[in-house]
Amino acid sequence: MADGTRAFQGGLTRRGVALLIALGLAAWARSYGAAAGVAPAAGAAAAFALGLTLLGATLVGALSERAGLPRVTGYLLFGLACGPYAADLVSEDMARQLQLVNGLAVALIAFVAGLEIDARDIAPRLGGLARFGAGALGVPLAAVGLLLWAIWPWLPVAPEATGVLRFALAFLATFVVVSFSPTVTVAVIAESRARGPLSETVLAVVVLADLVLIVGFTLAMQLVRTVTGGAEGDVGVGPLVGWEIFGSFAFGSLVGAAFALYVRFVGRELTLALLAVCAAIAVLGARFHFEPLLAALAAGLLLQNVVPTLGARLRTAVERGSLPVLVVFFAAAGASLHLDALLALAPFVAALAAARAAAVWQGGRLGTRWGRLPPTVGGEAWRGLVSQAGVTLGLATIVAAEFPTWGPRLQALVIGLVCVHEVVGPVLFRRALERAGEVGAAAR
Amino acid sequence: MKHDGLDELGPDPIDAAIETGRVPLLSRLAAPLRQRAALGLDPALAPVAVFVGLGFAAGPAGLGVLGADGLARLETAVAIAAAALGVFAGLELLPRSGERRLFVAASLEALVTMAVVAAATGYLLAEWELLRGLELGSAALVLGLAAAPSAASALLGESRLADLDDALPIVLGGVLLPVLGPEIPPLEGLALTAALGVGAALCGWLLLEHARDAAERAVFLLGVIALLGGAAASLGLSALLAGLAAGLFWRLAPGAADAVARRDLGPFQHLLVVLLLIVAGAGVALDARVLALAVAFAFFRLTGKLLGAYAAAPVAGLRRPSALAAGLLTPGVIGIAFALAVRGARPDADAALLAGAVALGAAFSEPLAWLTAPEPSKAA
Repeated sequence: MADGTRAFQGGLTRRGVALLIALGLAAWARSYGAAAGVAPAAGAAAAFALGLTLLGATLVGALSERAGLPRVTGYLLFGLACGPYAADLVSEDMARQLQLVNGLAVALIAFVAGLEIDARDIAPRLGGLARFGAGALGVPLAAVGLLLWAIWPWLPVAPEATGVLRFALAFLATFVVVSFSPTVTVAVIAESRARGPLSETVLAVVVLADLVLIVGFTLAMQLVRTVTGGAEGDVGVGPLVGWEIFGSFAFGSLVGAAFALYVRFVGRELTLALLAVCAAIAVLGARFHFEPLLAALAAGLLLQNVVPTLGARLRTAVERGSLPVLVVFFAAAGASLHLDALLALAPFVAALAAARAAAVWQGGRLGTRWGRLPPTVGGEAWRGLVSQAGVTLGLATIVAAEFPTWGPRLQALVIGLVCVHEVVGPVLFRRALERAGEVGAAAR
Repeated sequence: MKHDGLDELGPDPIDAAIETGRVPLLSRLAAPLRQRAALGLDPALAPVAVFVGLGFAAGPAGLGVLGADGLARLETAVAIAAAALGVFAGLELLPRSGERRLFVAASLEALVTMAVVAAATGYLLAEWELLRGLELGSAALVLGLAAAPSAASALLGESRLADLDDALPIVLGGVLLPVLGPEIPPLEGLALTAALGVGAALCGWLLLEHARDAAERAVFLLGVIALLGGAAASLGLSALLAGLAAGLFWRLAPGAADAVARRDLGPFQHLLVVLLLIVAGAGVALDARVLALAVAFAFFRLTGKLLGAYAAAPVAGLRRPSALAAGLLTPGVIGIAFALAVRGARPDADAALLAGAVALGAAFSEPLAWLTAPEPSKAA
């Protein structure tokens, strides 16, 4: 026992010293460069930020795990602390460069989510899960939607909007504000090495609910375009939604099949191959208007459920490949959080966050009754639905890019919400997993 | 008849890999490649020529698939690749027992190659009036330093010489780069780069052997390499030298950090080198000046390596300087990484000209290397 404690403290000291050295080097390099007037090339600055993030965020993530918090929270806090709004070791440009990994991360996370969903396990419980999801999603959509419509004239987004336009904008904002985070869910499950009914339920519900939300968001965008007169010449809503959803699934299945062939007949450098597949999904998805989240999910689902023997072989590759990508993704998200925007919108953010959390909680309770889930699962599952991250930010970015007059204001509000939910959500979910006794079950 | 048991082992694998007798024309043309592969002169398929060519084809001067944005993103990999190459050089730097003469010979060979290439290309740069602002001596030195490193072969005795001939160019490049870029005095630049490398290596030394699992260890290693490469390149210092200092630190420090780095960095090495070569190729703006300088670079590199081999062979105790020269002709990626670092530290037309000439010149050197592959019986 004493040896174990000494080893623990030795490891902690060693990691603490290493973190201090990395931070000291980074601070020295930044100040020396500024004093010497050296303007670093974008690639060099990105490599510097990548190195600092990989080292520092991983160490802080491990320290936060020892403090009983999820690693993801540590990654985010490191990004926040080193980002442009705090220590400025990672500048705004560097944070933007780091976000290049976002597409890859979202695809990888969805791929992992697909690998985690075993249709044979879920099939008998699908009805219950769908009824739970209907409650857990329906209540927040209704409650947040009504709240947004009611307070719209006071929200600093587009207060002048009235009538149908006000309804359309509130409708669109509802899907963005309610959306969940498969990214954080998968990350917390993976780093907690959790396995069990709660993990499976939350993961399945988050993935299925985000599918519904993405479809709803696409419809809401089309509605806003129509109301604002921006839909002229656009493809109709039916073909567009069909292409984005069914096209994405078809594309993802094709990529998954190709990857299965690679694993079976080549089987080398699986980690690099996996990252290349996710990068291809992200890049090609963006180019051909597929939804990378859906495409990667389909690829993972196909591998896990059509060729399950390969899914098992991929587990090591996934563990190796996902850690650096997740570290950079969350640290970059933390570094990009606009603390100034959060402060300015704090009252609205607090009200919406509280309303959303209450609605998710009540929705979870209702869903538990509808889905007849055991209270140990249903009573805790809502805690896994609080997080928001990449998907929410992605949806807000799409709105900001398409509607430059009021979109960026909605984006700022959503960023504020993400700030809160990124920090609070993983902690809540980790606590729920601990209470359900699922932490570490995968390792056992 | 005397029977020594060797017949039972079948033909020698190298002989088996190298066909003899009458062969079709196509096979005869491919013979040098097979011969090099059999001798372990990896990689058999000339990756510098292939990937620099691919990069050029995909780059802005080619098909334009790789635009300015894409290139800027890939530049991240250049700093990391340079640091990784430096780490590998550092891990292999310390002469093993009985190799001190080999180290001196390798440095002598590198020095002769540098001198020949720098002198010859310096004359041509002045004669053709190719430079627009960069000092003639510095430009010639850049080309000389980029020409000196050789790629290591796997089986031949020259492989260690090729490992060791990287050290001097990396150190001299580390002195020159801060002078060319942010205009830091040479000794200060050298000290800063070494301190950066040792600092990052210390951080890695504390973590590498005590990671929770292989995934975390890989993240730590990649983080250390990216931090030292990125910090060095951001300050206009040499990521190669910072990496060399880190590799050397791990080699000298107690524990197995050097073995961990060698094993875990291996899978990334090929990918990073490929990205580096593609960026080098994509950055080539093909015009008469670059082409002429590249041809001169390849030709004088050949000359320099021959002269260097003849100077180094007696010191190293090797009896066949020609075989040594043939084993050292394959251009080292470190030379290209150095030229790209110069372009990064000093983004002007002269640096672009030099980087383009080095990338193309290295691609031209590769066919020369496989056309002059040593015969196995002489090389052994």
